Amino acid sequence: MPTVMVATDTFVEFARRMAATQGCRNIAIAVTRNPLRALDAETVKARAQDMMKTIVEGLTTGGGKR
Amino acid sequence: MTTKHADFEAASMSELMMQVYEHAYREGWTDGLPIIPPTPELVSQFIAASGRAPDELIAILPPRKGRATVEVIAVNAVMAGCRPEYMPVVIAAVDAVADPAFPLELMQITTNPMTPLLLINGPVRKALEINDSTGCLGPGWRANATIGRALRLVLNNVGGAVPVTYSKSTFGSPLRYSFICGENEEENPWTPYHVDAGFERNDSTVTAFKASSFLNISGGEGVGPEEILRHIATNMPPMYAAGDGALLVLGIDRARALHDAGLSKQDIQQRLWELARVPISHVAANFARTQRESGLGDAETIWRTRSPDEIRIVVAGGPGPQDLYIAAGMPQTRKVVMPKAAS
Repeated sequence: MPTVMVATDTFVEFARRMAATQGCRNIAIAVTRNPLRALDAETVKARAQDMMKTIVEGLTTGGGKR
Repeated sequence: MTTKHADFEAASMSELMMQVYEHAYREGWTDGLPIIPPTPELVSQFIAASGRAPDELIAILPPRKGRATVEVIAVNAVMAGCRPEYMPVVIAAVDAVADPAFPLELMQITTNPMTPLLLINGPVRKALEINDSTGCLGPGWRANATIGRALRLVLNNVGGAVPVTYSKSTFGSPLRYSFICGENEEENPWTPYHVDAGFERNDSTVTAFKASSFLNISGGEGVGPEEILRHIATNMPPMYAAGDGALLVLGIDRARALHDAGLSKQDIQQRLWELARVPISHVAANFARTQRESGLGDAETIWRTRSPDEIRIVVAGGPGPQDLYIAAGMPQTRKVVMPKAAS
């Protein structure tokens, strides 16, 4: 199943390690700046928009294949 | 966890011990403290004391999907300083935290410092000298110190919860060294925890809670049950619960006072559930909303737990005006299976 991870820049290496333990060594990861917790809704939408290209490419070019 | 052998040469016993410690630390096998070298002879003794085959698989532990066989658990129990006869308790603890209903993978990797809390019930407490009385959650008792440590070493060495590499806990927690006590059943005026959970009083059990705090409620304030419970409730703030629940460890004096006032455990649970709430004006708006959406609040207040039965009550410790609140829930209980010759 095509899959993309979303992670903050602080946790990218960790995200890749976790994906590898599930057998997805080459998974596409959309990255945004850390931290996220205190963002308002508009900023979250803008951050999501910035990641959209990576997400679409990851889902349509097989980046999440095992 | 793969098997490795190492040979050491030293001019003295103390030099040898330091070499082993340094080697184990460099290899990442320790929690930072010295270990007992897991020699083949010692590991064999521990496996024999478990009454199980060395290759019996007890659990596969996340996130690294490591295989916790009896032999691997024995290696970690030796390193932790356990006695061989602790093995059935360590095995039951590993089995409990591996239950699919226990959120172990989350606990192993999250920024929150949550960790398993082990509650021991039944005759095994006395047989192994697991402290359930004065000082039961502190240093000074080998069984308490090393059984919890053995579980931590298994979680790190087998599951891979190595700080920074997989465990992203922002602060970590001193509770992650060893967090275990017995229930003081002899001073408990009600039924012990494992009996409430459906076991026989003579069963020995290990219960693993997902725990993330330790808050001593000091002073024994309050005259009469209503004031006592009000004082306890003010020390049980709502927080990101997500299934946490609340564990109230009543000291033996307080347990006796509440019992003698005619309260059952259910009475205490109900009243604390009603009292352990704060107005939404006291917290961040988004926190109030997520709590309410999780069934932990209404239009005006947020609550510590969804229901009274998510507040669990045990009795432990010695005399004194102290109680203990632990953000802990999602318990998994396992019966301790002793080897035939020892049971």
